[in-house]
Parts: sequence; C-alpha cells; structure tokens
Amino acid sequence: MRKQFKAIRAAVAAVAAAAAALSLAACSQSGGRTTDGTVSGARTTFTYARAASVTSMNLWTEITSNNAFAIDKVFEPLVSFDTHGRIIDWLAKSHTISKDGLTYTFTLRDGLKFSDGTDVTAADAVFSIERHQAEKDAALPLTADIASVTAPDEHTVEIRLNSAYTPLLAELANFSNGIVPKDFGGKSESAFFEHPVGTGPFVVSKWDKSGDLTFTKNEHYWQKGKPGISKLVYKTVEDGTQAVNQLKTGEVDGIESPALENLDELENGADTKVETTGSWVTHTFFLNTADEHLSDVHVRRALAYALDRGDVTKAVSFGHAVTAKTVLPKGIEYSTQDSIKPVDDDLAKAKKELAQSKYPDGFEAKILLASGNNAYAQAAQLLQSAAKKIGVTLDIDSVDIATFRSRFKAYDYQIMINSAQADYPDADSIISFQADPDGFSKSYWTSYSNPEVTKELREAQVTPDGDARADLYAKIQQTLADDVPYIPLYSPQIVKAVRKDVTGLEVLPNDSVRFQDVKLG
Amino acid sequence: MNAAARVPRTLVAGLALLAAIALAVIVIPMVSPYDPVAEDVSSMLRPPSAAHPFGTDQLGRDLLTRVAAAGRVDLALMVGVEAAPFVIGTLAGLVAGYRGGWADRAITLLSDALIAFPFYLLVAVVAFVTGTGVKGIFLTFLIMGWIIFARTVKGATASLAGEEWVESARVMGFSDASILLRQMLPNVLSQAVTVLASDMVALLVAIVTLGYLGLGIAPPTPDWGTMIADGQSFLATRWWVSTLPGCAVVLVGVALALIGDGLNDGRRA
Repeated sequence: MRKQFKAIRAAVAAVAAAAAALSLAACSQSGGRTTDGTVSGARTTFTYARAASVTSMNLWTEITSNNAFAIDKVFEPLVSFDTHGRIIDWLAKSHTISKDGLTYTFTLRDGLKFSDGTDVTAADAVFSIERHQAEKDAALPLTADIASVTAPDEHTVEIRLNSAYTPLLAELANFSNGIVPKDFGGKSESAFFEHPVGTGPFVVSKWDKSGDLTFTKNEHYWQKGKPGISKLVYKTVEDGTQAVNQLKTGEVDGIESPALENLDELENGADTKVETTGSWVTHTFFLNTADEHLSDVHVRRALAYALDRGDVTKAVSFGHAVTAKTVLPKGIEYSTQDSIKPVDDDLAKAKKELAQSKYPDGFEAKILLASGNNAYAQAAQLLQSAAKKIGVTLDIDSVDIATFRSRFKAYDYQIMINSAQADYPDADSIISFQADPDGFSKSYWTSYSNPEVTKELREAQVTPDGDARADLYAKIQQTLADDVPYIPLYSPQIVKAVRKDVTGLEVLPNDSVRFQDVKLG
Repeated sequence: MNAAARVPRTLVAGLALLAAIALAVIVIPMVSPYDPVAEDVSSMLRPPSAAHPFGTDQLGRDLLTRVAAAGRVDLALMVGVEAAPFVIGTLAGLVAGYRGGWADRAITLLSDALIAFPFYLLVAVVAFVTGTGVKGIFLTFLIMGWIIFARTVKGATASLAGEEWVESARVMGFSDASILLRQMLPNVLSQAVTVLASDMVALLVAIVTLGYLGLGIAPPTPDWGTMIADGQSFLATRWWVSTLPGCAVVLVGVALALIGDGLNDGRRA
C-alpha cells in the first residue's frame, strides 16, 4: 500500500513541479535586472551569445554557421558583399572581367598583411584558390570551369575560365575563398587551422572547441584604426531564453540568433535593440512533382491559389519577414519580388484549377514536417485548412529531423516545408539548386523539370550581368511561379539583438555580421 | 459510523473536480461562438479578454474553446487507452494470484522483462513502426499498461486465495471462474481502481508529452501537449498560450490524485 501511496504522491509532486516550472517560466518575463554588467565608457570586449561552439576553422570544408561565421572573421576573400548583398571589392582594390567573360583580373590592395605581419602577395591568393579547388570535401566548391589561376605580378591575380560563368564573382565572395598564406606559412595544414593566420580583423587567441572562443584584434588589419574593439568573445549559450536574459543583464553584448517570437521584448527593451537586414532565405512548401497527385500542374496551382501567404507570414514572423512572391528573395539581384504575378490567395481560382485537374473531387495527401519547428507547424496548419476549402485533405506528418532529412532526400514525401538559402549573392545559386533537374538535388528534391527553364538557366549562367540576364531570370521566375513546383512563403529578416550602446554592427544577408566598426558605450 | 462519514473528503473533492472538468470540456465547445480549428490570423495572440477569456493562439484561434476541445480529445483518449490494460491486467493478476505456479511465474517474468524497457524508448520505437498519433499511444500502453494492474491484483488475490471461505466455495462445487469473478474480483477491484487513478495521471502526462514532442495527436485536432509546445517559444511574452493548457493538465492531475488518495483512505478506514 505504501508503494501506491508513494506513486500518487509522486504524481501529485510531478504535476505540481510542472505547474511551478510553467509559472516560473511565465514569470521570467519581468526578469528584473539585478546587476548592471556595463562599465561606463571603457568597454572594449564584445561578447556574442551563439547557440553552438566553433569546432573547426577549415574554410574549405566547413559550411555550418557556427564555424562559417568564425572563419569569416579570420579569412577574407578578394571580393565580398555589402549589407544589401551587392558585390564589393575587398582584398582586391579593383577587378576587371574580359568582354568574353573568360578572364577575371584582380588587383590587390597596397600594404596588405597577414595577422603575423607578413605581406600578402598574389602568390598567396593563387595558392588559396588552387588548394580550394583540390579539396575533395569542399563544402562550397567553385563550380566555374577554371582553366588557370595565375599571378602575373605580386599584386595581380588572374583567373581564366574555359567557358564563361557569370556567377564566379559571387562565388568568390564566399568565406570559403578567403586567402591563406602560401604553403600555410611553412606549417602543416592541420597545425595551421589550429592557429589560423589570415587577413581578417581578428585573430584566434583562446579556443575551446566545446565551449567559447576568444578573438583578439588583428594589429596588422588593412582597414586602418580598425577594429574598434580589442576582444571579441564567442560565448556558447545553447538556451535561447538564457541568451535573452544575459543580454538584458549585460552579460553578453549581442545574440546571434534571437527568436523572432521574443523580438518585440528586445526591440523595446530599456537596454537592448535589434539590428536587421534582408536575408537570402525563403521558407517554402516544396511539392513533389513526381507524386501521383502533385504531378498535375492544376493541383499545384489550386493549392497555391488556396493559400494566403500573407497570413502565413503574419502568423509566424512577428513583423520580421517579407511575404515571398517569387523564388528569389529581394536581397538577390534580379529578384522580381516587386513585379511578378504570383499564384496566390484566390479561392475562386483555386476551385477552378482543381476542377480542371485530374482530381476535381479532391484527394488526400500528407505534409511532411520536422517536429520541433513551431513556425513550420503553424504554416502547415494554414495550408491544411486552405486545402480543406477546396476539398483537398492534407494530413500533417510530423517526424524527427533525422527522419525528415532522410525522407525528403529519398524523394519520399508529397508536400514538405523547408528553407531554401542562397550560398552567395547570385540568382544562379538558388535557381540552379531549385530548378535544374540535372543538379544533385533534382530541383530541390521536387523532381521538377521544365526544358524551357533548364535552357534559360544555363544561358543565364554565361550571360554577363545586365539587362539580358535580368530578362532571363524574370522569365524563369514567372514560369516557376506559374508551374508551382514550390510555394515560396516568406523571407525572414536577418536579426541580431544587441545592447543599446552598441554601434557600428554590420548585419549581412547571409546571417553573418562584421565587427570591425563596432564601438561600445 | 454513518455512510457519509466513511466517504473520504479527498475522494469527494476529486470526484467533484473531475465532474466539473468533464462538464466544462463537454459544454464549452457546444456553446462557444468559436470553432476550435478555424484560423483567424488577424486576431492572433490576443491576451485574455472578455471576448477571449483565455486569449488566442498564434493562428488567432480562441484558446478557451481549444483547451476544452483538447480536453475532450485527451480525456477520451486517456479513458479509452487505459481501459484495455486495466481489464487485461486485472484478469491476468486474478488468474496468477489464484493459480500460483506457472501462471504466477509467467506473469512475473513477462512483467519484469517489459518493465526493464524504458517507456519513452518504447514509445519512440512504436511511433517509428506505426507512425505518430493515437495508434502508437494505444499500442504502447497496451504493451506496458497492464503490468501494474496485474502485479497489484496478483498480490491481493494470492493473499485471499488461502482464506477459508475460498476453500469452502471450492468444496461447495463453485467453478474456478465463478470464484474468481464473483467472489475474488469484488474484493480486489478497489485496489485495482486505486492504481487506475494514479496510472491515469501517468498516462495523461505521457499523452501530453507525446503531443509536446510532436509525436502525438496530429493537428488540426487540438491537444494539450501540442498547445503547450506551440506557446513555448513565447512563454516570456505571451504566457497564456502555454500556461492555460498547462493548467488544464495540472487540474486533471490533481483531481485524479485526490480520487486515488481518497480511494486508498477509504479502503483502510
């Protein structure tokens, strides 16, 4: 009997504990600041709360943001991009592209030095690009058909192509094309990446691969007088609520990935603010065009017409996203976000399209979803009820993230929600990945194939930047909008939360930031 | 001692609370002007007010209606899922306790083997096989749930089996089945019911946890666990979305615990 009694008491205790946890968490909204971590005026260390630790500094093999956004503080490419995603000269002071699009010539800045004080020469750039090309496990390989990379003189780098490839410049702007010292300055490659030497504003000084990373200022940085801070600490704070509390108390100066749901609290906080820019990400419903029902273009158009994407944006973005009208986010050149005619939010047309399809009386299908993503769960429910209005029954199939990945990569889904992201600021980055049936993902695992689009996207890869290229991408985007292999939903803003006294933080559309102009207090 | 004095107050309180909850979850969706699954994004995340006493969720759905509708689903599931293990476990315990010998050893062995298996691991395995949703919950509890009843009833039955009146019944020619069901069962049932009350709390927590993990009842059907998970990300700024469904779970837990406690006290009095 005692045992049962204990069981009941334990149950009561468990329920009470759950209640207490809930109410505690609910109470933390007021979360009074007890201490003020700021020291007036004299702060020169910026502490940045990030969800995951830096595990590797190898710029060629790494892609996840925990590593990428540490790598780009140490290594810099010849060209880069600004907060709007436009290509700008970086370690190169200028560049030219030959008329036939086959020769790219970069002139290095004067007085460039690595963080160990040695000079940067064209030979270092040649070594870096060639080593990147040779990397078997390259995460962001150069796709251009490169014939040669040479150094005609100490300050000039020349890349020759076998065939024209316009996205090359944007590809070179990737952190993976950063410049390292030739032959790793005499060290072994593995030793080099433990103590990396680059041209970036910061140098790794203390690094715990399962904890925090401390950078110190690069005394030889080419932007004179920068960076303004002497130390940059990447502090691993896995729990988002904890990160918010630490920002409020001044324990950290910024949060890399604040949750959109709690942003208004930080935006209007006494000591906090947020910095934003447009992103290269579009959260999207992907429709498997190899599926029995979804192979019918009228079915796909019916679903797109039934859904109000504005509602989805409103429900999940808390004012920090733009409703996507096209596959290219606005921060990518040639996006027709402002001019395209989308297939969107028209119930009458949705019914008409379904009536024209092979399934005028509706059908049943499933939305595949990774569990634990609140925004996706909400979006899926909105599509579910939109589809119900035209007689299509959609069940939500919520699975763990590992199962989700293995299933969609095996084309084992009908509809899924996922995010699409450009790796570099060129339209081709997204269009090739999402619309090329011969690409490795077969049009982002939708099996979508339209010979006209395939032809145009190949043509756009070799057409020099300008009106002709713009026309091609406009055509492609309209065709993709009309064929609906996917329903782009919204492009979230890139958002960073910082202490109110932080100035000069440059937020980039790839979710990274530049710290060289940052000042505290 | 009169009859009223013999009914423990905790039992009365527990039953009254459970009845009130049952009434609320039945009536509220019937009289509410809102549909628990119809979205209205224009009125998303409204705090509690006269129009929406529990506020609204992220898709603008009335939370009071949803908490009640989810209560119907979760409580019905709780009762439905618990029924089979209760009957199976009680019968198995009766037979094992009465027969002893191989039946006793078989049940002990089987229950020891099953109980060694971590519950949520089994849930994950079953969910993998059957897919997420009600089926998985039902199957998992069918596999695991009967053990506690079998053990409780077996012990109680074994201690009765040696008593004189059982022996006399046998001598008088009553069949084993008749002795078990007519004579023994009424005597051990109260213990099984006591266990039932506490086990239901565990079951409810499991149903809610599965919903919370996204492995339970699939949307649009409302469920307390999913609702708690939905509101978790803005617990700090819109407390009502998670907290109010959470309170519903707590209330049911308290009612069942009181009932279990009361039954226990009643038996010992």
